[in-house]
Amino acid sequence: MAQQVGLPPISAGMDMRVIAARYRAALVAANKNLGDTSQCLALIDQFEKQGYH
Amino acid sequence: MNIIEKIVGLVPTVSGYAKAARDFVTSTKGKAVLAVVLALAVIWYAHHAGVKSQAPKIASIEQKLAAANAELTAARNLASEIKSDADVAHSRADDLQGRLKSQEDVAGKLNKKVEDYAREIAAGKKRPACVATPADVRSLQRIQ
Repeated sequence: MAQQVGLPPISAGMDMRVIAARYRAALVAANKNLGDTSQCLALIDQFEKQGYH
Repeated sequence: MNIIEKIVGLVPTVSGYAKAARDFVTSTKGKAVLAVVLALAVIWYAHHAGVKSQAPKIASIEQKLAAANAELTAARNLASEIKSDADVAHSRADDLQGRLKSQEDVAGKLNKKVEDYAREIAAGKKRPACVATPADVRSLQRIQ
C-alpha cells in the first residue's frame, strides 16, 4: 500500500513557486500514504482477531 | 379298546409305511431325491459356515467403511471451509485492488494540479519569476 514518496528535483533556474508546489504535493502524498497504512494495519488487526475467517 | 390293542391294530399300518420308505430309499428315484437333499444340505451348511467365517472380516470392512465415510465428510467440510476462505480472500484482494486504483487516481490528480500550476507560472509574465539560484539549490539540497 505505502509507496515511497520521492523528493522532487530542485535545479537552478526553476521557479521557487513550482518547487514549493512539488514539495507540497509530495507532503500530501506522503500523508495519504500514512493514512492508508494506518487503515491497513487496523484491518490486519481486525482479521487477526477474527482468526482470518 | 385299550391302548395295547390300539398299538397292535396300528402295527400293520406302521410296518407298511416302513416298507414303503425302505422301497423308496432303495429305488433309483429315491436315491436321486436323497442325493439332491443331501447336496442341498451340504450347500446350505457351506454357505452358512462361509458367512460365519467371514463375519469378523465383514465387521472390520464395515468399520473401515465408516471411518472412510467420516474422513470423506471431514474432507468435504474442510473443502467448503477452504472455499469460503478463498471467497473472502478474493473479495479482500478486490478491495485492495480498488484501494490501489483510487490511490493511483489521487496521485495522478495531484500531479496534474502541480504541473498545471507550473505551466501557469511559466506562462504568466505579470510577476517576475522567483528563480532558484545555484546557491538556493545548494541550500535547499542540504535539507535532508
